Amino acid sequence: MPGQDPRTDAELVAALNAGEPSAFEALYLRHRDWVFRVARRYAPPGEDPADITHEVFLTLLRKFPGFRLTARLTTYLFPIARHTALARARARQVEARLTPLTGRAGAVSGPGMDGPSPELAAAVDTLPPGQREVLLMRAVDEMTLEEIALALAIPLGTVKSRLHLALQTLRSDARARRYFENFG
Amino acid sequence: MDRPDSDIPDGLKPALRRLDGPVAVWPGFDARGLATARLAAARRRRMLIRGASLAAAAGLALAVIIGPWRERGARGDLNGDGAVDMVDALVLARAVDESKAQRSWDFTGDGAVDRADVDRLALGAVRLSGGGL
Repeated sequence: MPGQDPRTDAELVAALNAGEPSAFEALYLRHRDWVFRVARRYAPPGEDPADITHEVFLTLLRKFPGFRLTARLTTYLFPIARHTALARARARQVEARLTPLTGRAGAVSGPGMDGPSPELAAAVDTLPPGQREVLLMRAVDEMTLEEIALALAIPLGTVKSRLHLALQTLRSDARARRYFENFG
Repeated sequence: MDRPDSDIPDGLKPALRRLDGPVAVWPGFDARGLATARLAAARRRRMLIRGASLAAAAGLALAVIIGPWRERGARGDLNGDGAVDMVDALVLARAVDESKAQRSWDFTGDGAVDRADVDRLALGAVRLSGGGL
């Protein structure tokens, strides 16, 4: 199955550059969920994140042959997904903004989990968009600070300060304080 | 800054991930995405091939247009085949007989285009073996 292709992203990119179509399928299956999450985060109301996800991969495909991978692939996929979603918001003439976590359909709860916390969602949603964006990229997308800086095309120092301020705000917010109780 | 920036509390990360929710796509989602990609790739390949064909055709057309033009610049190459030879002398002879010679074909420099120019061209062609006057 292409999704279980043992090759690294760099090897798949090289294979795709050499004209191997199955390498694209492997990249797609490997990163589809990740791209979908980002698309969902920025998708304007009425836009299907699935459509945005497909468009992101089409955009990626158009970069071949000749695409050079010099960082993690997600660092390239993130701005494409973000830009695609925000462009759709502009096309619909609706405000381009981060989708709130509050009331997010499908938030996971299960045995052993403390359940999706509406309080935490509300606290995160009150963060300024720039801080919320960086926090989610770091915590949910598991991007490094350097990758976030690259993906958002902002200085590393800005990423650090936004994350720091986001955490500071959450720590002092009663709705999120419990996540910091045994921390530092 | 009072702590390393990457220090997000252990409990906060999974909580945020759960809030972000799972990815649920409909059956056929991947098939549609990959089919669209295959279609786009095929279209792109066709465009690249068409582009390459167009470039080749354009190159050929330029070669046809510019090549002889450059060669026709050689003095005495009246038929524009890239060589100054007896054929050019024949072209000139016919042009002189039919009074259709051009002023620029005055190879003797005497102000007239006549049999003397045909002889000069023919002599040059023989001597220079296709090189020109």
